[in-house]
Amino acid sequence: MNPLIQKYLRSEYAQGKRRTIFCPGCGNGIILGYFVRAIDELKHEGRFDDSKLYIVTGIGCSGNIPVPLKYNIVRALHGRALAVATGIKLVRPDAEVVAFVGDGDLLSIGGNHFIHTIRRNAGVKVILVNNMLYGMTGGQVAPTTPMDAITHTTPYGNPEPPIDACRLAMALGATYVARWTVALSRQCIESIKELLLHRGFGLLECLSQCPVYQGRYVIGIDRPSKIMDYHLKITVLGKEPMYGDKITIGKFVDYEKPTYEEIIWSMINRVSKGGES
Amino acid sequence: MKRVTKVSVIRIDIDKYLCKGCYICVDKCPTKVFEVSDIVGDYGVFIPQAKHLDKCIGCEICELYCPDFAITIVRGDGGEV
Repeated sequence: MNPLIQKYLRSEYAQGKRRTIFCPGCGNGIILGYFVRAIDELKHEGRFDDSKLYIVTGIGCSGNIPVPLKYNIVRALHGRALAVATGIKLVRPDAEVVAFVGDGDLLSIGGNHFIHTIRRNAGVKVILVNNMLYGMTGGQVAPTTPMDAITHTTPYGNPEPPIDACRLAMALGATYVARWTVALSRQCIESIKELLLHRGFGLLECLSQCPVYQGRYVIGIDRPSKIMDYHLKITVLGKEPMYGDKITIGKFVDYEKPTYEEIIWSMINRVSKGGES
Repeated sequence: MKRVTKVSVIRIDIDKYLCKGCYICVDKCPTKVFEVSDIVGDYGVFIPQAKHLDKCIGCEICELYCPDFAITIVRGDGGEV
């Protein structure tokens, strides 16, 4: 067991008595490692307090990412992770709320919560793990599946064009949007660090590999390292998000504006003072 | 930013219980340090071993990419990290 990771895991995992439940070569475990390393580096620099960290997850393989961690974890309903995260952030405005969600979780069933959380600019940090299909239930077509890709439910090719989460978030006015792949480790860690120090809503989309279903259906290679190479091949660095034959990666926007919890708490203070006088 | 001082790598441990045999470390190592061995791990796969340690440049890419945190790089003169 890696001693750096071991410090942040729950007892059974830290003693090496239990493995993570992911398939061999899954990108979710790599993202968990990046998240722990980002927290460790920020704690070394003294810029982050992890005693107030709350983690909310949706349903799916991505919901199992923070399970070995020793932080406060809430497992929300399918697609409703951001609603629960907004509630935690409103009750405790000084807490740091991170949501781990998958692409089918956030963009199909939770699409409405995604839109309205960005509209309010609630200070929730979203890490979107995009593996291009529904991995846990057996490789069905998802909103992010590329066109003409063969999946379990589209055996003759996917007739639907995919949705671009970063473009949607930018159009709605999100204050931090970035997209990287799992194979770019240093960029992912730096992006998670920026996300944790950011004030308003932040979205980091991470292209991840699912060797069992994405490898078998969408790409046609089942070796995890070859899928990582494929992700590097189809991505280009750019300033405008695009999700087609080529996928642009990079940091798209980073600015600040008043957040939902600040507005709500200033209103509560104003009204309660007015009521006393 | 934390800078790792480049002390030479003396050992690369691979946890026999945690390794699931995805072989990302075998394929992604830029100098091909790892090799699939004949030892069967607890997950039922042939676990990789760092056989060509003299070629290691200490880039830590295997430790970063390992999804199951099974790889530990031991640096320096035998002291635990």
